[in-house]
Amino acid sequence: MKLIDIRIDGFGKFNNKYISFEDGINLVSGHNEAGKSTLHACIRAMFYGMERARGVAALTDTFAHFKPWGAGKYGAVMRIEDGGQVYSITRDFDKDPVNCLMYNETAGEAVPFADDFLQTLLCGMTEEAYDNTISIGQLESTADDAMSTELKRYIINMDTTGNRSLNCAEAKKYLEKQKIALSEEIVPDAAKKLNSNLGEIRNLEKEIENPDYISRINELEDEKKKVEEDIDKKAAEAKSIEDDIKEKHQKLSSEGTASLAQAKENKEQFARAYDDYKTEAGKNQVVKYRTLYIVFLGLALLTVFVSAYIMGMGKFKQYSLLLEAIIGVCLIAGIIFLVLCISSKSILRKKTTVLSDLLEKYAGYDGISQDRVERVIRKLDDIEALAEETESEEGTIKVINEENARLEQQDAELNQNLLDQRQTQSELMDRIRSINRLKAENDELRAKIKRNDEINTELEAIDIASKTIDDLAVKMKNSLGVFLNGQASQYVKKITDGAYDSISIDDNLDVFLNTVEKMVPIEQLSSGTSDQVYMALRLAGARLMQNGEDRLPLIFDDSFVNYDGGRLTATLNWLMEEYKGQIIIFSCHEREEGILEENGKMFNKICLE
Amino acid sequence: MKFIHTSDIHYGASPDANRPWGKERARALTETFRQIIETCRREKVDLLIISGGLFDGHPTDESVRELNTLFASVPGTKIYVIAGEDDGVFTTSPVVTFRWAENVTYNTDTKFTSTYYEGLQTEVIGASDDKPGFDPMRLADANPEHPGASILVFSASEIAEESIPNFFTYVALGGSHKPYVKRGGRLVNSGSPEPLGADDTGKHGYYLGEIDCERKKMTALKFVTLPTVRYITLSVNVTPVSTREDVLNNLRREMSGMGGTNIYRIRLNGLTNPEVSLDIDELKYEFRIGRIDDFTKPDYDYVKLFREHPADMVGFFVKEMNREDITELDKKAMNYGINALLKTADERN
Repeated sequence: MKLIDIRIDGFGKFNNKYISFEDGINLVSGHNEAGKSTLHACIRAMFYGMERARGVAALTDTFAHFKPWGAGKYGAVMRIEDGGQVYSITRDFDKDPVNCLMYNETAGEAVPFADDFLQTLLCGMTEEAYDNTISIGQLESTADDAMSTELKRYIINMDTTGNRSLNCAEAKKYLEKQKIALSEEIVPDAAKKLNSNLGEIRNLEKEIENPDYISRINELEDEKKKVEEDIDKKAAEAKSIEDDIKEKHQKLSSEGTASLAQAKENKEQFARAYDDYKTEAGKNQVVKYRTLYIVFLGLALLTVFVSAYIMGMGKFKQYSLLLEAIIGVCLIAGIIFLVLCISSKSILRKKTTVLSDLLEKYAGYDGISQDRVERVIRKLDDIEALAEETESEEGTIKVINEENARLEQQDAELNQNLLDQRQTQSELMDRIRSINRLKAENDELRAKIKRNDEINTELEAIDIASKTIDDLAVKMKNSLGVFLNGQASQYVKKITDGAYDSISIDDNLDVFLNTVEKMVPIEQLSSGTSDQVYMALRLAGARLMQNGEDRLPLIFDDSFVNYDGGRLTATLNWLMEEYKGQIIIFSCHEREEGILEENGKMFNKICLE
Repeated sequence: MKFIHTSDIHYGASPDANRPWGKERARALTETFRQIIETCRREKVDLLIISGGLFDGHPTDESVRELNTLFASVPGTKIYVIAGEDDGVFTTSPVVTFRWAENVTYNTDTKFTSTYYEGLQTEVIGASDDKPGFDPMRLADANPEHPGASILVFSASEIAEESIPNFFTYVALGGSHKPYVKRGGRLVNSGSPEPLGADDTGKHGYYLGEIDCERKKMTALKFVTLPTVRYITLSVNVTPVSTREDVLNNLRREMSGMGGTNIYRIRLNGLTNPEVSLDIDELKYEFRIGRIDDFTKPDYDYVKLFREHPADMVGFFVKEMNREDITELDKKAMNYGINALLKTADERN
């Protein structure tokens, strides 16, 4: 593609300015304020439009800078030629700073999708690439090493298309930071905990189905109630019987009896006493013995009298011994019977006393009489009966107490069972509560897992982005290597007149010029050589972007201002030999003019005044 | 015959337990149920039907006792309860062995059984669940045998209406947190009387109805809503010109207007300016925010980006976005890549 002409309606200081270009070398000369940079900026704006900055920056961006004062148009029409066709590019920056209109003058028709088409004519070169390849500014800065730094930076940041992007460490670090921030939100082991919870829930649910957990508390409590009612009933029974017994005991003891045995004994005792008395009285021994002793004593006395009479009379002496014997016997018998009588009397009296004592005890003193005796016997019978009842009641009490003891034991067993049941139920409730708790926890965990998954997706995306950057960087570095080894090295060799064979870059992105024997780091090159290398690189870059062709115009904007004559000559010669496309040189010197003329080179001079 | 139909009470539950309003919600749940019981007493309701979900998960003997005491406090109301999927019965469950108050029938049978309230001339046929999922075949056992009105009670979160027999005076369903009414008011899933979580948006309450038992017809059905906190989802569509202040103020206005005690879930949709952060977290200190979902995507002018970076990393990423078969994951990755490259572009210069 080459520039044919440009008519500027309004741009910077230009108003209604027409400039035309030719094939080959075009020299645009003029003083410093003549407008060379403005023209260059305009050409650039025609190629790429003018992107407006946002906000406050819009006041001082490029658009604002070149906007003409006054009411005039802000735009231009530039004509180019490419592939045998002539196109005109029209831009009205006021109306549309970004898009252009194109018209194919050769075919006589408008070009659809003008912006895209223009891009293809520019070999897809972006503004940035344009600035780095075919649009060349001042070369050779005053400091020596600045150039090599610039070279290095240029190489490092250039890829096959002229844009920067090799060193993406920062981008990767940014991604890494994002990854770390997201990772912190992940709840670790959420899925594991969920699964283990589910397992636990399953186990617990199986456990609680165990029939041992069916609550028997109701039945046990019912039973217990019944048992306790029984106990109470029996206790009441026992109490009433006991009360009765107490009453009976009181009665008995008021009669001087403490037990059935005693009552029986008392009865027997009385019966015996009465019997004895009766027998004794019946025996009538006192009277008998009395009679007897009276008789014998009387007899003795009589005999004593008889004997005394006899004695007095003095007769019958033979009978005195007999009579003494009789007196003796009678006396003895009489005394014996007296004694017997006394003892019988005392026995009888004793027996009477016993009986009457008893009678007095049981019926008050009133003498012995059949009637009273019978009354007492009846009473003693009653007492015996009472005592018998009492004893039988005491027997009943014992039975009741035994039964109660049994019931108490049953009660105690039931209590124990109830305790056990309560324990079991409490276990059951614990398990139920655990199940509920685990299920609630699981609900939370599920939400966390969902969030985890979302975060993991983001992390995966970041990884993909990071890896893509890596892959691309490698690809690009490789192709840079290819580039450097290929085209760039060729130019370096040519432009340094074979002093160096090739240019290379190592893993540290350090740049070297190489000969067969050594590798020279670019920091060690002279500034002149650096310049040449720089030029060579840019040219190589431009050529590469254009797929090996010289299609686009090279634009030098005050590039050689620091060159001395010799170098300028060499460079221009080299340029003219190497580059077959259109070359536009902006310069405020006349040296370029001189050299070109010297070399008999055809060139187009454009004066900006 | 006047009745109240409710379900899925989850008595004793603590929704949002770890959020600042957690305790309040837990209290509200029990309080609302107590109010329903109070209504039974005040309005002399004949029958209270709880079609599942009375308890929050498996019941413990403590909760059973507590509810029984509550039930016993309205002896004039007959109370019919079944267990649903979540509080399902199992053989050793305390609800099975517990001796309920006289006015309570807690039907733990999983086969449909009939309870006839002679004084109300109403037959209630219901069944409990012991595992998730309701098999419509079970309904084959549900057949009324007594004169008067018939009410079918069971819990099923999802069931085809056609599989439910049509000859019942009223069908009382449970198992859904949200209420719905079909068959002109003869088939009702009452929903829980209080919202139990962020998904329970919309109105909540219980159903109060009247049946003419002689004629076996429904004569009235009213949905009684209770004043309560609601869960509300707000969707905000942002554009690349939306500012954080815009979005914040918009949301503040909406939430104040609807009520500051409600619990909100905020969804951000649309495209954002990648340079601008729409961080609205501070709303969490002013309102009750359940969660904030950010579904926004950065608005990169891909055309412009591609024009400026046709063949470097950024350009490559942009080219990828235009690939037809790109997956969502790759799209995300590309956005991350572009964002990182653009944000660190300055450092590369």
